[in-house]
Amino acid sequence: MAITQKRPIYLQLVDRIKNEVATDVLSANDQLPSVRETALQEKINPNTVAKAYKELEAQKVIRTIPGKGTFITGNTASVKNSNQNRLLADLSQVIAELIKSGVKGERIKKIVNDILGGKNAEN
Amino acid sequence: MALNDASWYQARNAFDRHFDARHYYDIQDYANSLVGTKKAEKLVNDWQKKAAYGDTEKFKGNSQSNQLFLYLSTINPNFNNSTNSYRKMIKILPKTFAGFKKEVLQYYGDRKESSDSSLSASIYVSNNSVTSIGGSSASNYVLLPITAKSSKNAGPFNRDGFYAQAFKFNQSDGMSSVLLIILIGAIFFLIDQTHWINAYMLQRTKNGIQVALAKTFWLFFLPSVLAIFWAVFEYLTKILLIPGEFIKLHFSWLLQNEIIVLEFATILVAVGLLIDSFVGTIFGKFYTFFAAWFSVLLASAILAEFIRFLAYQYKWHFRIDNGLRSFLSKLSIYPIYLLTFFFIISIPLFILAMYFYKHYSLESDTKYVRFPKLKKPFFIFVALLAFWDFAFPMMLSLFSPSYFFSITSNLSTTIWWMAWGVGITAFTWWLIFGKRFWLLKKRTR
Amino acid sequence: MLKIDNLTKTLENKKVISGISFSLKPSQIVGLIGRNGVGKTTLFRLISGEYVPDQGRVTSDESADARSEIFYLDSPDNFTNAFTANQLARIFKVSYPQLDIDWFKNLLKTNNLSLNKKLSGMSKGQRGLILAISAITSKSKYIFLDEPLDGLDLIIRDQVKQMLITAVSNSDTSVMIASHNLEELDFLADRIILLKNGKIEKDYLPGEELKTANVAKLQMVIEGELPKVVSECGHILEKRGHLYVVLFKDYNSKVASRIKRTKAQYIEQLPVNSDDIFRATFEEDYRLRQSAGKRTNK
Repeated sequence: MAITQKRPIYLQLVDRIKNEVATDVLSANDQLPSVRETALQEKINPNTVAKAYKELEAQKVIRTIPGKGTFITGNTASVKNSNQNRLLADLSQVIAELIKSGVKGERIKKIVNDILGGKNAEN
Repeated sequence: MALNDASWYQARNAFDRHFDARHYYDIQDYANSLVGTKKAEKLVNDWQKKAAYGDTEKFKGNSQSNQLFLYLSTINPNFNNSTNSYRKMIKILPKTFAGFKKEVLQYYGDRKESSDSSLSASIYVSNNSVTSIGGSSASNYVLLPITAKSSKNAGPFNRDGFYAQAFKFNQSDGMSSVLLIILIGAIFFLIDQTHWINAYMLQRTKNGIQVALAKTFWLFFLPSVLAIFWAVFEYLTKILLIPGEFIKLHFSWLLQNEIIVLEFATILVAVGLLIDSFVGTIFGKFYTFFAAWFSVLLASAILAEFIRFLAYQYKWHFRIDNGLRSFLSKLSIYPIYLLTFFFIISIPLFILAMYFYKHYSLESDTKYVRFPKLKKPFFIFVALLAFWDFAFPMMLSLFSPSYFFSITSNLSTTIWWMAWGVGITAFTWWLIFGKRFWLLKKRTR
Repeated sequence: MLKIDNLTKTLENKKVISGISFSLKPSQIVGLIGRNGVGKTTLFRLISGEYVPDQGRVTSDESADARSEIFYLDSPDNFTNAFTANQLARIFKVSYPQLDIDWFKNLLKTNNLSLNKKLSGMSKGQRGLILAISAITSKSKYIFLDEPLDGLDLIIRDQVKQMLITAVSNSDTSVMIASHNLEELDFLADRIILLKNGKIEKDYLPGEELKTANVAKLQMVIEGELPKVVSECGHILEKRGHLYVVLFKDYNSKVASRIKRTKAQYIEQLPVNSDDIFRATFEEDYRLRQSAGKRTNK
């Protein structure tokens, strides 16, 4: 039997920050709280936060200016883009699971149309 | 105290009421007329047998020779001890009556005697306890007759007899300085203890030596400086209270006195620090402090007694080098030598205390004997002391009945005597090991 | 860097600290945990110089005298009670010449603490806050705090934590905290040292427990008999029906492969925290207590 593992906490934090960038909660050049402050606020260990920040830096979502702090980079577009791709991937996975569990394609289409239609009506 | 000059004014009052210039010059002429005569030799002979007049001794007879003797005794009660020559004896009579008054009413005693004997008397020990430090110098006594000058019988030393009264002039040097050291030291120690800064001090300094040096500063240096300042101040300011001609300052004496004060303070501090570094608290630091001083005094008394005993033994049982013997006998008789001897011993003790302080660790604060390795030796030492003081005399008494009666006049005294020895040993055991004797332990089933 | 090298101390014929070595790097918050009486305070006293060690020494890269870099006050009831905050600042200024008195006073004012009231007249929380402020404003490189948050209310706890974090982030200061509040330490410390029997049992990085402390927590669904590896190497934290939460101390690849070979239907790795590590370390103490409890029940 293989040992499964939930998504690690640091990746959860990475996802959250990326999500906040994609939804414009955080915009370019916004300063993030320091590692220790984030740890205290989020009730996560500083090592975990540091790991998440490192990951975000590797993905070029944030950059650290020594002595000044950590900031969101200018390439929010690509963050948005990758976030969209990730969400779309999630969506197709959910749809695949729905079909597997016996939900008819028509029903799924209807939900999608309702949501899209509602949104269009608003616009 | 600086203001303690009332007795001097009282003495001056008595002097003025009893002496007059005319009578003084009469007696002086009489004294001078006798120089070289047979009568003078006879008088010297008589005087050497005669004691100086005492406190309440009544003098009768009003012959001129008798009056001359009394004049000379007033100037110096021991004028007849140091010489056989009549000429030398009457030489102490001042030329003028004013000079006589000045000589008699000198506030600070005449310290022209050889420095050796006066120094040795400066700390006077009797019955094994320090009764006064500065002995002859702690107070200057002047004996003056108390009868009215206007009496029918001319002259201060009249035919009907007179009573003498002693006037005591307190001296500025002496015990008060040492008491001041102890007092100021105790106050500083009390402040130190209430502020409870030891752990922090230990932590912030490189090692305990700095703590010990800080303690030395507060417990020794500062009190000594204050005590010396006080003594010098008191000594010098006498001149403001008493007419200047009656004050003769002896700076060499003051210096000697301050050396004694410093020696005493050093001994107290060295032994005090040693005890503080070695023996920890039982009832709190404050009590340790007092216990420490008592131990110092007790130890000094025991050591003095011991040295006296040794000197006695040497004197009677061994033929030893004269110089050493005289040193030892001097040590036992003149405590100034003893003090200097202690002072010399106190220097290695001080270094030893510093060594202990260097390894001063906070947990030892709660222990009676700070160093685990020293627990047993210390207990053995106390037990031996108890044996020496209590059991040993008992055993001696078996061989010497007179000794037996001197310490154990009855059975209850004997029992108390033994109980003290056992009690001290048991108490020390409890302090050090914190256990009960196996006899006192509760039996568990 | 502060190097603690082979410290050993015997108190009352008991080896309280035996051969402890570790070093404190700049800008670190290190937690010190262990059971009551394990020697946390003794260790701090040895490091600060209140106790003289039987063996070993404390050295600092920055200074020949390591003690000048250390701030530590032994217990809440120390000499400071006899003074006002103003007087304390002056006392500390002598010991720590770098102490920023203006900063000290400012922090006191912002926390509504009196400068001219004796500490003995203040509440436990206020005293704790003043001592934390003293520690931080002393600008010492190494601050040792013994239960700094104990007895403080939530708001003051947050303030103290914030101050410590600011001090560590903005300067080279390192803080070592002895605490029983493991949850709080998990969010605060980058490194945790666990003492057991006078020695360092675990020295790990929270968040990296599996790698640095070799402790794993697994959720397993097991039907039938318990696998041997669970009863031998594991410590069951929780049991609901067939669902077991098992803690493995000394978790290594060998144990992992043994676990994989079991007949468990489902195995999931859960995040480990200091509570778990503490429990795993003192597992035998649980067993002792349990057996003692059983005995009295009979």
